[in-house]
Amino acid sequence: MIEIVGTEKTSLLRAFAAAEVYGVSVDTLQALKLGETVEVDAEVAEQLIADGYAKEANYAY
Amino acid sequence: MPIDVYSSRDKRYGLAEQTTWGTATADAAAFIELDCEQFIIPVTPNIRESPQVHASRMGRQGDVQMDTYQSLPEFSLSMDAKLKSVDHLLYAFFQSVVEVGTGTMKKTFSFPTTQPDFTAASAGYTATVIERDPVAAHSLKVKNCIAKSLTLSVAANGRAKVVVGMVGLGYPATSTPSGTWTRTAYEYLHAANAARFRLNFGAGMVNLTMKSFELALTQEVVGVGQDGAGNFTTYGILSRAGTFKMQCVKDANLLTARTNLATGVVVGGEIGWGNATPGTTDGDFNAAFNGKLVNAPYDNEDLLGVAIEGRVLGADDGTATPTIIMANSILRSW
Repeated sequence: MIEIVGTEKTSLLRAFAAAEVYGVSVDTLQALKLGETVEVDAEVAEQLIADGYAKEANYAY
Repeated sequence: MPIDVYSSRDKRYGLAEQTTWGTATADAAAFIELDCEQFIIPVTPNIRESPQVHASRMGRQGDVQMDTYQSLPEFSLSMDAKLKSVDHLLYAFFQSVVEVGTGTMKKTFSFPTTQPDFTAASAGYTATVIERDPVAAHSLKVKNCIAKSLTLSVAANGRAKVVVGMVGLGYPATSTPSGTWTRTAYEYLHAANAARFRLNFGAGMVNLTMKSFELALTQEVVGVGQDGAGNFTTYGILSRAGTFKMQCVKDANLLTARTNLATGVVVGGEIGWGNATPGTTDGDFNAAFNGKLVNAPYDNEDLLGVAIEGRVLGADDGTATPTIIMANSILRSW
C-alpha cells in the first residue's frame, strides 16, 4: 500500500468513472479530490501517478 | 389525410449525464426533464460548393453538396436555476468539481488549470441532450455536450436564472425517447433569500443592496483531431473569461467603486444563499469571484443606483478562479 495525495489535475477526475478505470473506490477518489491523503495499492498508485492525478504523500517534489 | 396540429409547447427537453465519451445516452435511459425555455437543436450540415466551370451559367445540382463532418451543434439552455439539477450544468461548464460524498454532498466547481481528456474514461463531464418532438422518431439528440458559456443572473424581485451555451460533438441524431423523464424538485434561489450580495473593495466584504446581479463566464471551445468517422476526436478549451455586473442601490460604495475603478484595485465579489460556510446546509449556493472594475456609472432606472461592472480575473499565480459551491444532498459520485 502507498499513501498518495492529489495534484492540480485531480479535480478533473469524474470519480465514478475513474473508479472503474483505476480499480479503486469512489470514496477513495473523492477523498483524493478533497485533498486528503489516501492509501491505495501500489499498482493503483503507480497508475494514478503516471497519469498525473496523484503524487506520493510526503515525497519531496 | 388528417392534419396533425401541434403547438410548440408540445415539445420537451431532456438532459442525461453521459457515461461514455462518444456514445449518446440511450433513448430508453432516464433523462432529467428540463424546465427551460424553448430552443432548437440546429440541423445545419456543411454546404460544399465546388468551383466548377462546365458550360453552364446556372449553378448545377452537382455543384452544391452537403456533408455532416466535424459537426459542433450549438444551442442555449435558459432556465431558472433548480438546486436539484443545476449542478449538471455547472459541471458541464467548469469540467472540474470536488464533491463531498457525505452529508449535504457539497460540490465545489472551479476552473481547472488545464482541461480533462474527454476521450479517457476517467475524466470529463458530457451530456446527451434531447429536443423531444411529440411524434416518434422526430426528436433530435445531441451527444458529447459540454458548456461553453454560463451566465448566472438574478433580479432583485426574481429567482436566479442560468443561461448555458451548449456545444455537442457530432451531428444531431434522430431519436425516439422511451425512458423515464423526471423533473427535479421545485427548489429555487430567490433574491429575497439571498444571504450575501457583497463586494470586497480591499478592506473586507461590504454588503450591497441588490437591484440585479449577473456573472457571465465563457470559454472558447474548438474541435480537435479527426476520429476517422467524420467527427472531431475531442474538444479543446482554449481560453476562459468572465464579467460581472452588480447593480446596487446607491450608497457610499459608489464612491469606493469609482476610486477602485480609477486605481485598478482588485475586488472580490460574492452572491450566496444559505449558510455562511457554503455547502454546510442543504440548499446552499454561493458564487464567488475576483477581478477588477471596468465601469461604475450611475444606474438611473427607478431607484438611483450604481451599476458596478467588472472583469473576472484569476490571481497572477493562476489561483482564485471563480468558484461556485453548492449543496443539494444528491450524491453524484463525481
